[in-house]
Amino acid sequence: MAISQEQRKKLGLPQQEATESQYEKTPSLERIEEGQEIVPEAAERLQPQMGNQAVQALLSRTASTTQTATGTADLELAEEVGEAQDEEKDVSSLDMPDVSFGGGGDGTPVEESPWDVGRLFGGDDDPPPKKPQPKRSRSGRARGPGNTSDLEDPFDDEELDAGHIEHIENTLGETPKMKEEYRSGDARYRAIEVGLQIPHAIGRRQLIPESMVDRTDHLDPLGRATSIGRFMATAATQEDARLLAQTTSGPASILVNPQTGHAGASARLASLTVCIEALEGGSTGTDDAIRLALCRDAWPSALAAAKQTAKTGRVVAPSIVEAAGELSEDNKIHQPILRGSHTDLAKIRLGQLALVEILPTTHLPHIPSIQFSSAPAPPSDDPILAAVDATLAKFTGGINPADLPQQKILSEQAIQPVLNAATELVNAMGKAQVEMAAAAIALARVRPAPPTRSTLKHADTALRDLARTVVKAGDRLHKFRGAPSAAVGDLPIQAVEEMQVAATAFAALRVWAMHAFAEAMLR
Amino acid sequence: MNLEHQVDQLEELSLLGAEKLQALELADQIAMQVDANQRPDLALRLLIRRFLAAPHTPDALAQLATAEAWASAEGETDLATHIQLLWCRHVGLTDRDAVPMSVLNEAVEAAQELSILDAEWRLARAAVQPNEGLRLREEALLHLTSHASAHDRLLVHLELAGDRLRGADIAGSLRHLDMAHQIADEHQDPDFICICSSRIGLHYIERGLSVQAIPYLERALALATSEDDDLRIVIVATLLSTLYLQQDNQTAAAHVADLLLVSGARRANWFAVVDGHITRSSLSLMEGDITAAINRLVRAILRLRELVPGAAINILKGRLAELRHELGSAVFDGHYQEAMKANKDV
Repeated sequence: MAISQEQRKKLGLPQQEATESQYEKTPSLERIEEGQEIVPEAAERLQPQMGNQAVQALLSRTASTTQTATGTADLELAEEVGEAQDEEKDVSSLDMPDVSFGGGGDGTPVEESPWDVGRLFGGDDDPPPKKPQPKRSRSGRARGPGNTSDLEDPFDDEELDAGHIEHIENTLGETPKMKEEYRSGDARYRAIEVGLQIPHAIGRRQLIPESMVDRTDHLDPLGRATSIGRFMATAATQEDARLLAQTTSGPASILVNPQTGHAGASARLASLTVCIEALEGGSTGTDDAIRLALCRDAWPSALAAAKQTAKTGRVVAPSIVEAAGELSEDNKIHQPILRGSHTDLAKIRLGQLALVEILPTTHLPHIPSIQFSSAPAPPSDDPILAAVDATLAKFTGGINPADLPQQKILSEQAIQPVLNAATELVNAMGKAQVEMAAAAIALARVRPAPPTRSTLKHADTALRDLARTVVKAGDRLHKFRGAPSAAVGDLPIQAVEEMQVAATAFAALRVWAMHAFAEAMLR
Repeated sequence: MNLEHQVDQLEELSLLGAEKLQALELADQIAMQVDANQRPDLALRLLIRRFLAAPHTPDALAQLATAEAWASAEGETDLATHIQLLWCRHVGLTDRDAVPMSVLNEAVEAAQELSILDAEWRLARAAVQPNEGLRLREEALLHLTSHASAHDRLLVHLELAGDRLRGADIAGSLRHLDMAHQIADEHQDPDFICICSSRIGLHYIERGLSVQAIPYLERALALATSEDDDLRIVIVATLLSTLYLQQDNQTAAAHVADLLLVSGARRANWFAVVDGHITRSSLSLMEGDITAAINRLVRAILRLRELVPGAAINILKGRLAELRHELGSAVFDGHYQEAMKANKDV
C-alpha cells in the first residue's frame, strides 16, 4: 500500500492521483478539475487534446491561490495575509485541502519532531521511511531542560546546612513582597531577581572563582547574572553596557571575592546587572527583553505541547500555545508602537535577539535547481576519430552513432534532491509553527496575556499557504519523473521556482513574526 | 562680528571640556539671532554642531531627521549629506540593521562626488559595516586632524578600541583607550576622562591585572563623585570595594562601601545597597567585631524590608546564614540575639 496516500489523507495534504492505472484507462480533460494533479503519462496523452499551454493555464489557475507567497517581500506578505484574515477567509474552503503540519507522517506522533511530515512525495512503491527512534537515556533524559533543579547539582557540596537559613527565617520572618508603587528608578529592573528568590540558594559554605564559569543555570544567583551578562555582552546597543556585561559574563575573579561570601558575590553581580540594564536604558522594555532571553523553558514547553497536538495532526501555533496553558490576546491597539523613537526600536531589536536566544537555530533548506543530464556528444568531424569512437562505443556498450539519439528524460535522480529539499522546507515550516508558539509562550511568561494572538493566526495562515504551494509544486514535479523533457517543457523548472519563491517568503515571514512578537512585548 | 563669523567660530571649537560649554553657550546665542528663513544654511550648521555636542538626548536623532528633510528642501546638498551621514553613523552604532543601505549609499556617494566629508562618510560606513570598521576608522583618523575634530577623534579611538578587542588585539585595544584618555585629559573633559578611565579599568580587570585597574577606577570614581553621577559611582565603587578587600585596604573599602549605600539608594539599586552593607559587615568581621558584623545585616533587613525587592533581603538573610555556618551556631546565636535586641524598635 502506498504510504504517502494514507499519510496525506491524515495530514489533509493534497492528494495524488488515485492510481496510475485508472488514468491510463480513461485520460480525459473533463476529469481534471481545479486542484487535481496530472500524472506525466496522462499529461502526455492529454497534450493532443489541449496542448501544453492549456496544461500551463490549468496549473496557473491552481497556483493562483498561492500568489500571496510570490512576488511579495517581507512585511507585504504578512499584510496581505492579515487582510485575508480580516476578511474571515475560511482556509478550509480553499480548493486545495487544508495543509496541516505534523503527525509523524503516517499519523502517529513522532517522539522527536512533532512537525515532521515524513515522506511527502512519491513512495507508492518505496518502503516506508524509517521513523526516528525515541532516544532512551540511561538516567532519565526525558526531563526537560527547564527542569534543571532535577539534575544533579555539581555544587551540592557548597550548600549550607538548611538549619542555618531556617533559623534566620524563623527569627526574622518571611521576606515580604515589595509594593509595586516603590518600583521606581533602578528597582524597575527586576530580571535578576528571579534567581534570588530562595535564601537557601544564596547562602553557601564557600565561594570558589569557578562559580562564575561553571554556573550556567539561569535560576542560580550567580548563574543568572552571568547568563544576563552573556546575553547583553553581544545584544546591548550601548557600548558601556556591552563592556560591563562582558565583565560579568566571564571569569572575573575579583567579582567572586571569598571575603564577602557567596551572598556578597550575589549582591555584587546583581547590582552590576542592574547597572547594565540602566546603562542600556529603555526601562521595563529592556528588562522584559532580558527576561525573555532567559525564558529557556519556553521551547521545551512548546515542544511538549506540540507533541500533544500532533496526535490530532494539527501542529499549529495557536493550538500549541493553548495546549501549553498560556493565554494570548488580540492586539486592540491600532496605533503603531514606533513613532520615530529610536529607543523603542532598540528595545524591539533587543526583544528579537532575546527570541533568537531561546529558540533553536533555524536552517532554511536550499531548493536546488534541476540538473538535466547533458545531451550525448556529437560524432567527431574527423572520420577516422569518429570511426574509432564508434568502435569503442560498440565494444564498451556505449551509444552506437548509427542509433537515433536517446530521448532526454527527466530522471528520478534529477528531481529527488529537489523533492527532498521541499520535504525539508515543509518540515521547517512546521517547526516554525512550534517556534512561533514558543515565542508566544515565552512572552506570556514574561507578561500576562500578551497581544500575540493576531500574529499567531496570521503566521499560521501564511505558513499553511506556503506549505500548500510547496506540496503542490512537489507533486507536479514528482509526476514528471521519467517524462521526456521535450514533453514537460519548462514545467519542472517552474515548479522548482515556485518552491524557491515559497522558501524566500517563508524566511521573510519568520522575520516579520519575530519582529511582531518583540513589538508585542512593548504593547 | 556677523552671524556667519560666529558660526565659523562655533565650528572651530572642540566640543570637549570647557570649550564644549563655550560652544553650547555660543550656539544658544546664535540661535536667538539667526533667521532660519533667510539663512537656512547657518541654522542647519548650528543644528549639526549642537547635535554633535549632545547626540544622546532623546529627541536628538528625530531632530536630525527633520533637519535633513529641511536641508534637502532648501537645496543645501552638502549639509543634507552631512546630516544623513551623521544620522547613519549614530543610528548604526546602536542598531546597524536600522540603517537602510540605500540611504547610506546615497549619502556616501554624494560625499565622494563632492569630495567632502571624508571622515564622516567613512565613520558612517564603519558603523553599519563592522567588518570594515577597523580600516575605515583608521582612514577616518587621518582626516580628523583639526582642533575642532578632537571630540570625533576621541570617539573614533574608543570605537577602534572595540574593533581591536573584537579582533582579540588586546594590546591594540588598550593603546586606543590610552589615546582617547589622553585627548580627554588634554581638554580636561571630566565626562570623557571618567568614561575612558572606567573602560581602561575594566580592560585590566578582564585581563586579571586588578592592581593596574585600581588607579584608573579611582580616578573615574573621583570624577563621578564630583559630577554626582550615581550610576557611574555604583559601577566603579562596586568594582573598587572588592578590589580593596582583596588588597586588604580596609579604610578605602569602607569609604567606597559607604558610597554604595548612598548612590545605590539614590538610584534605587537596592542590590548596591545590600552590597555596601555586606562589605561593611565583612570589614567588621575582619576587625574581629562579630556583633557589629551581624548587627549591620540585621538592622539592614529590618529597616529595608517592605521597601526594597524581596530578592535584596534574601541576599542579606543568605549572608547571615553563611556567618552562622562560619562562626558556628553557638557563637553566632549569642551575637545574633544581641543584634535582635538592639534593633527591636526598628
